[in-house]
Amino acid sequence: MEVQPEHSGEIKRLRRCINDLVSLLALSAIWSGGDPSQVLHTLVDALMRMLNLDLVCVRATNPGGGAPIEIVRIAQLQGPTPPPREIFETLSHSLQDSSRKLPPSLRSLIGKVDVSIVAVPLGLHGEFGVIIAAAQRTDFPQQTETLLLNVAANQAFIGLQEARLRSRQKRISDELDQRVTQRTAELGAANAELQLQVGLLQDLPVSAWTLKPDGTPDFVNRVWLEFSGQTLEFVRSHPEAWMTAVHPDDREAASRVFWEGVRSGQGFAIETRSLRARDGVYRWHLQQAVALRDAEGKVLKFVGTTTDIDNQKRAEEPLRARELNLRRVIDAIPTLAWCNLPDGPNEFLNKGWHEYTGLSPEESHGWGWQTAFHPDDLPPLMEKWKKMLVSGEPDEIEARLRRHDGVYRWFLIRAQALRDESGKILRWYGTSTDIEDRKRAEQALAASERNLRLIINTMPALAWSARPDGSAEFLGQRWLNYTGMTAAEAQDWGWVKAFHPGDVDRIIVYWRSILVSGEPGEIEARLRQFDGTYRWFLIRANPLRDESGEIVKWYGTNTDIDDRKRAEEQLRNAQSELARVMRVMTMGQLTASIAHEVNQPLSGILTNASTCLRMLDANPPNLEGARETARRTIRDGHRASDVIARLRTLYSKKEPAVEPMDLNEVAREVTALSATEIQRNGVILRQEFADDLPAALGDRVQLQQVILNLLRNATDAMSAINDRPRELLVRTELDEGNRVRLSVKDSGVGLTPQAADKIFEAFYTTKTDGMGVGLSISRSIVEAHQGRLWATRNDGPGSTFSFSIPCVREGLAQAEIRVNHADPSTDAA
Amino acid sequence: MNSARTFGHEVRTLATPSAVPVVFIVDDDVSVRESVELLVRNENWKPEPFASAQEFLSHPRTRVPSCLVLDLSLPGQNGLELQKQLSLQHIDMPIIFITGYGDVPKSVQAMKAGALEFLTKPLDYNALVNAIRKALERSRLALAQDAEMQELRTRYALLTSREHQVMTLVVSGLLNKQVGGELGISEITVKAHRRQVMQKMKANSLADLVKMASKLRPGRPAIDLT
Repeated sequence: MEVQPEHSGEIKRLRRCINDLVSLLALSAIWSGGDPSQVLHTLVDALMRMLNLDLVCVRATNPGGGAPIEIVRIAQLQGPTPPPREIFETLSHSLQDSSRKLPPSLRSLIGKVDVSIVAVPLGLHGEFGVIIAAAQRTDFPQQTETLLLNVAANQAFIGLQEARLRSRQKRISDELDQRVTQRTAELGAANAELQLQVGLLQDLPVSAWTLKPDGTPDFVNRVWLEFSGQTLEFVRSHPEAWMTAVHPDDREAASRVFWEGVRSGQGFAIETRSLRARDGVYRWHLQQAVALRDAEGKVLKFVGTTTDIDNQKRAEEPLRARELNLRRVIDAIPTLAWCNLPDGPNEFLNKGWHEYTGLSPEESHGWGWQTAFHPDDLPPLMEKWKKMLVSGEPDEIEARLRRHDGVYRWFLIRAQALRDESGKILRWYGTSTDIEDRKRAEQALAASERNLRLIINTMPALAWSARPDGSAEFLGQRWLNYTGMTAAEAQDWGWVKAFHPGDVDRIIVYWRSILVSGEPGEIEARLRQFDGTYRWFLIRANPLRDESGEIVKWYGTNTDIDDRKRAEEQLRNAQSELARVMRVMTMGQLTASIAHEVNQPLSGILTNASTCLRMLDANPPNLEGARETARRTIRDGHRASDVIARLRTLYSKKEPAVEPMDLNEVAREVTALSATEIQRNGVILRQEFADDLPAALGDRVQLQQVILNLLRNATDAMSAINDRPRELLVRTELDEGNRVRLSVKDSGVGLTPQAADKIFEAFYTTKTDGMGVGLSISRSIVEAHQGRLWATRNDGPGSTFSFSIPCVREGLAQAEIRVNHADPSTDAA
Repeated sequence: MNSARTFGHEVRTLATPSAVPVVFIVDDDVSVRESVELLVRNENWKPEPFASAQEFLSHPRTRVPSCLVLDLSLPGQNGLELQKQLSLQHIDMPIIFITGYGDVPKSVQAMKAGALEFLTKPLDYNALVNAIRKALERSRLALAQDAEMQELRTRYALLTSREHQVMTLVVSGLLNKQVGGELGISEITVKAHRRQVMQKMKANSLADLVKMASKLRPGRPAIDLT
């Protein structure tokens, strides 16, 4: 086709314009999703390229907010190019006047360059900004160019609008996202917290649970389940299901309190013993529940815990028991308790006090309590009370308190101050204890002490007490009066001086031996009277022991036995004399027998002498026969002499002599003397003497008298016996305990039990012609030899009388034997 | 003791007139016993000393004239008891009691029981010798009588039982006829028996036979006078 140049240029320009327009319209596709700045940059670049501009500026409000978007594009200008900011300043300034009605073109200088300027508003009134295009060419703006600029501006506006929309959506979306994120984080945190809490609940050392308003458990933590061995399902099955673990004794009360708490909505607190499944042990638990309510006060849930309080409970038990006990004691003891104000008047009196006195609280209040005391006791009581109020010290007093029935009884009143931290007295607390019985006992004791003292001081003995070491602690008034010593002088070991010097050593030795043995003892000794004379006393001592058996004290008495002692001596003398008389009497009764004993050898002598004479007178004299006869005569003479010698000792009144002697020999001499008499009575005498009998200590004559007496009694006991042999056995033997024994056994009438008891008593006799002193004297003789004389009944007929006396022991000094006569040393002043 | 109780019956040796008389001495006292022993020996009798009754009783002895010097008080069986026992055993031994006591009741008792003499100690030599002599004389007599009795018993033992019957009836004073009637035999037979009796008993006359019969049965009257 053929175009005219003019037209062809026009067509070219128009075509170009159309292409540009299409390009511009297509821009929106690029812009989609782009941000405003990108839209505008794309637009500006497109304009620069399409319109061959030297300068394009865009200023647009940022649809996303914030600073306006300003874009400047400058082509290759001659000369230096001012910075975009200045260009804007300039342009803005140039455009100021026209305000929003930009002139269609404007000539201005940018730098040193003269340019045509076209401003196209963005938006209907340019409210979104402005696009400014400038070109050095003068034909600027052509019509198409203006169109393009307007289209571009519209496109930009649309793009901006889209961007704005997009931006807003994005912002909302972001905000939403942000909110979602935030919420998610919050929820996460909350969840974590919850997890922690649930975990805590499960792991708490207490059992935690919740109940529905009807009391059915809906949550129970592990602690309880593990403890009770119950399952959650089981617990949830019934409100009381959990109580199967409760001790049967506690179940009823627990159930009651539980339901009360649930139904009232008040919650509850129950203490029960619950069974620990693991070992079957019951442990005390405290179950507590509180109600959770909504705004209207309706119960939503009960929240509760079960706490193991077993240890505390067990710790409490003794305490509680003690408290209970204390309360009981306080209730039970006959003690009246009270509390007074610091200045003295009463504030409180316990029930017991009121019951006892019969006074009402009104009557006793203040100082009214005084009326309950005995008038005699009140002044000292008040005096003491006032002193206490001043001193503040605890104290006690005894006073009589009137009982409701008017009877006064003794009370011990004790009071103690209660102070605050600063020491100020807040109250006085006190008790009044009935001590009537004690008081009476004291009075009785005092009376009995008076009585005892009276007895001690009047009894015919000197009383004393000594310490465990033997030193004197107390010497009775009579002791002091008797000795003339003062208590101080006699104290400790001073009392020793009161004894006879001859007795002191013996007493001390004996006293020490008693102290060591701890056994009671007694000893006889001479005690000096105040006037210097001595009298015999029997001193007795008895230990007093404490609960552990330790001797705490020795009590003793000294009894005056001087008269008795003298009487004893006289008796001993009398007995001694009697014994001698008896001996003589016995010998008298033996006279015929003894005469016979002497007569026998005499008869032999005479006959022999006659025979001898006849032998000599014979023819031839029988010298041999005469010699033999003479020899026999001499022998018989000696025999007679021996008998006389034995008799002499028995008849003699010589002092008793204690010496070692052979009991066999002693017995043999006696049997030799009495053999005839025994024989004359038709009694067969047998002797069994033990060999090697140790020597005994004694008085030969006295023991011979005893043996003689026994032989005589035995002979007499058989005098009426005709139906059996009259046998008498004298036996010696070694007895137990280093003693020698002699026994005389007869086959006589024997002893009746009645006689057996009495035969040793003086003047008791079973014989028609006896005096009844023989055995009595015999026994006293044997006992003086520290021996024993006794009688036994034979298995067969008759009886046996025996005595035993100590042997002489090796290395033993001649023991002192109180023989049957007065000891010169006992002749005390 | 058994042998003691049968004393005198066991020993039956005939006494010879020339035998030395024996003096038994029983005293428990050695002085008395031995002095008496010397005295007896000095008088040419034979002493037999004992210290007790038991010793004496257990000692066998010959039938010679003898006597007993007995202490009244002896251990065990005393003098009086021994005397009693000897008497019960028909031992006719003269007893001279000696005693240290002047015990009158006992001496009376002893004398009543047939004691020959009662002497007190110290003993008088002559008194004792005289007493012993007297006792021995009595013993000799008793022994002679005893020998006679022994002879009679021996003779009597030779009789048959029929002759015993005849002798008993004859000495009681019955006539032969009466004896025959009593025994249911003839008078002639009685006479023959009687002759045998007189011959065996060596009786010279009826009176002699009667005397013998009375000796053989002491305690019964020699002749039944009814």
